[in-house]
Amino acid sequence: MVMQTAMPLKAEAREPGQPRITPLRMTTWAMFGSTLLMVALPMFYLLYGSFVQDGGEHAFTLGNYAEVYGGEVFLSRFWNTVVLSATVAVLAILLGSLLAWVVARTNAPGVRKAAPLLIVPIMMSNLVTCLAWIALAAPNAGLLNVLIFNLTGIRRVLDIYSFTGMVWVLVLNYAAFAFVSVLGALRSIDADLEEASYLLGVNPVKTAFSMTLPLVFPTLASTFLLVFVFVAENFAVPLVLGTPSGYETLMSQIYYAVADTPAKPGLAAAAGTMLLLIALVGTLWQRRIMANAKRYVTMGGKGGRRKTTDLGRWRYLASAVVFGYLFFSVVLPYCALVTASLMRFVTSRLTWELWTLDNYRKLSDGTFLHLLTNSFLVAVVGGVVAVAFYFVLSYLLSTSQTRFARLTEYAAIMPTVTPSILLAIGFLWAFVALPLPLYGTLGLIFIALVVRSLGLGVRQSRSALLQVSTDLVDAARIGGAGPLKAFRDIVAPALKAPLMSIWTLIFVQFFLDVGLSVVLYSPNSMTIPVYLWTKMNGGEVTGAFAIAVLECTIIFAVLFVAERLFGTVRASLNR
Amino acid sequence: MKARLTLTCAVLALAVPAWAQDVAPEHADAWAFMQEAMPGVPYDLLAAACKEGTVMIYNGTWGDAQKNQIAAFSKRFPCVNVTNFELPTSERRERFVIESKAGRHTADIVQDTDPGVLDAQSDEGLILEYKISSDAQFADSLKKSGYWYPVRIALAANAWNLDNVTDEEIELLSTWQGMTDPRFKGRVGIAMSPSGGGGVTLYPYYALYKTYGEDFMKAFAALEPRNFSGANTLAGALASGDIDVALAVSETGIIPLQGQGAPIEWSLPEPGMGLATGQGISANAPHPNAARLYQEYAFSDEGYAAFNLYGGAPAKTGFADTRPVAKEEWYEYPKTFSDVDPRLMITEKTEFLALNNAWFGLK
Amino acid sequence: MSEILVRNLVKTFGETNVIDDVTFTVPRGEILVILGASGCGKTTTLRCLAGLEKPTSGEIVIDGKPMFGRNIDVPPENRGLGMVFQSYALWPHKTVFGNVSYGLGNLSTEEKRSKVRDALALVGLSGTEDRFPSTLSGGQQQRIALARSAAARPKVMLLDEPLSNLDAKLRETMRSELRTLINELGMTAIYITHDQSEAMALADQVIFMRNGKIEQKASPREIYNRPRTRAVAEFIGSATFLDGRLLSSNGVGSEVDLGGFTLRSTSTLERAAERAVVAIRPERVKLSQDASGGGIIGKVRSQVFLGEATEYEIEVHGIQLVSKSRVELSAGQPVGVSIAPDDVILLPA
Repeated sequence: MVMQTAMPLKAEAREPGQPRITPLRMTTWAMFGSTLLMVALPMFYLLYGSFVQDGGEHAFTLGNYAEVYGGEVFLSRFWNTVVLSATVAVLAILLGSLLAWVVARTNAPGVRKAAPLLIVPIMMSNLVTCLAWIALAAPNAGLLNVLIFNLTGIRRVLDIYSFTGMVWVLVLNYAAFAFVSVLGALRSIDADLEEASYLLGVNPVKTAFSMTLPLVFPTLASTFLLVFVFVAENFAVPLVLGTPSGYETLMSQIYYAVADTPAKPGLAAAAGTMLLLIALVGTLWQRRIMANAKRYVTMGGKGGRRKTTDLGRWRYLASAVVFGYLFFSVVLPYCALVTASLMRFVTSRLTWELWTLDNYRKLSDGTFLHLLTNSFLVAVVGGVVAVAFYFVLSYLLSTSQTRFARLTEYAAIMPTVTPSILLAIGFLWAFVALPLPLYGTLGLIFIALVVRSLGLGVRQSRSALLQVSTDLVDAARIGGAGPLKAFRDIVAPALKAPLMSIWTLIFVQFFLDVGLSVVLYSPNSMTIPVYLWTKMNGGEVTGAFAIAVLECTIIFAVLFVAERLFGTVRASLNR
Repeated sequence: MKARLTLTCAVLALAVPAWAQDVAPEHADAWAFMQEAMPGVPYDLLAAACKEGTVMIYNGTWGDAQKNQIAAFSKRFPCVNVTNFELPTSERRERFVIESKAGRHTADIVQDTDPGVLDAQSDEGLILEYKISSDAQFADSLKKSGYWYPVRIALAANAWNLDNVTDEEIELLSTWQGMTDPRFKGRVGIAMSPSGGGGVTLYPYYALYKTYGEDFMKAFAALEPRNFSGANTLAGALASGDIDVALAVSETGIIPLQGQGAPIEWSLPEPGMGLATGQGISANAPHPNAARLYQEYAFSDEGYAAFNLYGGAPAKTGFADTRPVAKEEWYEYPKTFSDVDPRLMITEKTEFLALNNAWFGLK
Repeated sequence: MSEILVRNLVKTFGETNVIDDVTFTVPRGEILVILGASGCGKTTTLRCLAGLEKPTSGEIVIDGKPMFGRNIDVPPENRGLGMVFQSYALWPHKTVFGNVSYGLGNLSTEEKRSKVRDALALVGLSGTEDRFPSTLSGGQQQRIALARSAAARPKVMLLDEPLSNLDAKLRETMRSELRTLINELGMTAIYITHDQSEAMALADQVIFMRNGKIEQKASPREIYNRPRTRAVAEFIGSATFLDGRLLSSNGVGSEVDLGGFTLRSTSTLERAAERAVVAIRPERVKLSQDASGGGIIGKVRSQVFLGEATEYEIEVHGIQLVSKSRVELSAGQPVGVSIAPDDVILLPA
């Protein structure tokens, strides 16, 4: 009460004729405040939990940290994680860059038309692709191994339960991610630069390395970091493929700590700080690169003319790379998935009795419709709300230079680099205690998802905002528009295309989420991936496959409709 | 307080002849069933349960069994609307404990695959003290009398893919001693977490170690089994023929695939080794009477059968297994059970894990 | 009365003062050109005036209203200014009409239409209302940007290198049109540029900025003829700089020994010193074929024919001088050199 009466008085004293509480300030404070709160709540509980003895009577302990940083187990897992993540990130970027170069800069036949399909792997849950690959490449009974045996007589050619197997599945998945970002960067480089190099007698390959590579390097660096973090936080692949090959990562260890009896969430939270450290080092490294990158003025995004390199006979090979990637990342696993979903159980010994529609028939009751509604609410509607939130937030962050803004910015990174399973526990702990009507609702899952993707959303919005020259906004301000009006009139419309592409990304992330939802859902707020997860846990693998097929189909359908209505996929590729 | 009150009611009810009860006409059928299936449970419980009108079960990922039981219950007691919340074990456990401690009471009935966890929760006051009328039909090692009772027993099995093993090998697999035969080397799968995980996966190893000693475990490890992250992925690999044999794996993980027609059979060697999956009532159940009524029904012959049909092996004395698999010629239920106390495993867990990880080369 | 007043303006980024205690005024109806190399703080000064950048300290008054000062910071939208950006900053998703009418506030559609029509007529682009900026040429876009900033008839117009993206020919045309337009509308303008000829052509007053400070403020003529520092002289026009020893200096003028010959200058140094730098504009170095006079005698080293004149490099007593002259000479030829005392610019060493 005192504050309320005191504030306007103080304002009058300080700024005559200028109201202290402007709509902008209120919005800024509300946005920063709510962001900080939503991040701080689960993080605080996690931090607190990491200092409390698991299962005990709330006794303070440093034991969790001692076990994580002092013991051999977690340190070896840490190195495993670094090795796996770095390998996948490097290979995914190499493959993604190759794909992007072929699509953007060569005359390889047919690749332009196929380009939109190249983002499909991003839309497939890697737990599901993992299981599909087990069906295909399990050492003894995998369909491909059986096929190879029948053709050549050699057994066990492929073994998906291996480090190589993990890398294979993950690279196929994340190369698409690298493809999208590198494509954007390649398209923003003026071809004049490359031509100038050709004229100086430098051959295309050398030009690519000496000219193009440095120009896209900042993009490669940020993509590397993102893929690295994604892999480090992935628990499905190390769990399903890594455990059988004896390759445990930090995330599988964290998963086991949570699933242990008695559960050790505190230990898991302490182990999570290792991932935070990785992300912290990565972010600092990336900042340095970005600071150096400012001198590359050509990255203005104007895009100029683009020259295509005539590959001659090699162009068919280039096409083969693109279509080969599509085949292995989408067609083959998806076919395996559809086939397996029609089986009673997964096997390569085919009999008539094996085939069934039961897996789909079971989904035809009202349950699935209910799940579909929930998933739609969270991912489609929630995705729109979330993207709007990220944009307004990063806009306000870019206009505000206060310490509060800096704090919010750093806070936004934290949940993105916290494993979702831990973040979810933080949310659970926080919201079960708070007297808010959110616990167990779809609303809480939505909030958790928004917080989870804060870093990604803000980062993407930031780079999209950079594309809108500040002059455009300034011109509106001079023309009499306040910051909010300028945002509405100028920034938002100019951002339509990048907004669309971020929505696509966020929609897929939200739609596929298991890690957060499985901890936070209730019978009323179950989503499709959670249902899939429980089916999988209940041993109904082919039943889960049927759900996965529907899940994929729904994602494709939504993106197809969105593409038709708003051009979302094209927007993602043409940024 | 409430619990004790109801208990007193139950005791009082025993003294009062049934015919003396004023029964509301809409409850007549239910009451008639109760007198037969759960003798001694007072009419007041039915009336109070109906008044509460709803009950929430936190069950595991055995939805078919649970739903079948709920359907049967709803037929008997249409006045109580049952909702169930299907959650994987660790999430379910975490939810129940956190909600209880935060005072956000949602669950009426909870299940857990680990008796140790349920025991601990009972001691911590999270499980309501309620002795079911069929208490005597459950062995002491499979329950904590007055707190939780076993809905099934997850028995350790040696399973094989029919297409990949010989009769001789099947013979070997029907005893614990036979499974370490060197001819299985490189053909075996197990499911074990280096950090222990839930008791269900670890107990068979513990019991085998306690029963047969270290040399046995070393011979087991010498088979170089491929370790899977869970019973389900292991079962999948077995069904597809990627591995020939799965050793000391919980029967509950393989039954669904066998039911789907996968060429899997298994033995449950003597002595049977396994953990009960228990069910108790939350100490802070929002619908304590409906929860008691459901608990009574779940362990009555009819309720138990409804669950058992799609669930795991029964743990009720004198109960005839209703599962299709029980009628299979090859299926043999163990006559004896291991006397290795699962409660002891919890206290020795750290030391045992260190040994176990060393034998199996788990890091 | 001055329309714009800037007093003790300071803007700090991190540790550096981008604007370091800048003070100036612009009388109503005048055009002030701020000239300087990139990074000198000129654009930041303009953005501070516009309210797009928040000064660290200082005071800004526009049209008698305090815009920035202690506890005052009027946001840009309330400063009532017009501004033209180097990048034009036309909104690509709005039509020309949408662009030009944006700053007109709550007028009726009819009023807006007529104002936009007027503004477009002013820049000679009537009838382009429904087109999108991307369909216009660079020069046309520039005019639309101008029309947009002028549509609401602001009293003060800020222009940030508005012509730098145009080709040389167009730049010259636009330059004079701009001057006429600003004068016709009776606006006060601040114009930022790094192009000295633009500054000369447009300005009533020129400010030369360097390292965030005002190095000189003067009329175009004066800043050319009487640059106060070497940096100003270097930036505006070209000159030969010679180190010399100050022989005498009084109220009337000075005499400088350049080593071999001496020059007299009508300018003096502000502070007494022994050494000085002499700046001489090439076109002020008079040459004559007659080398027998009493003046300085030099020798032609090289020549470049420029069309309207020839640029000669003359050696005088071992010192190189550059001269722009119409006199025809050949290399190696002795030449008479004379420089009027008015054209000998004396600068602090």
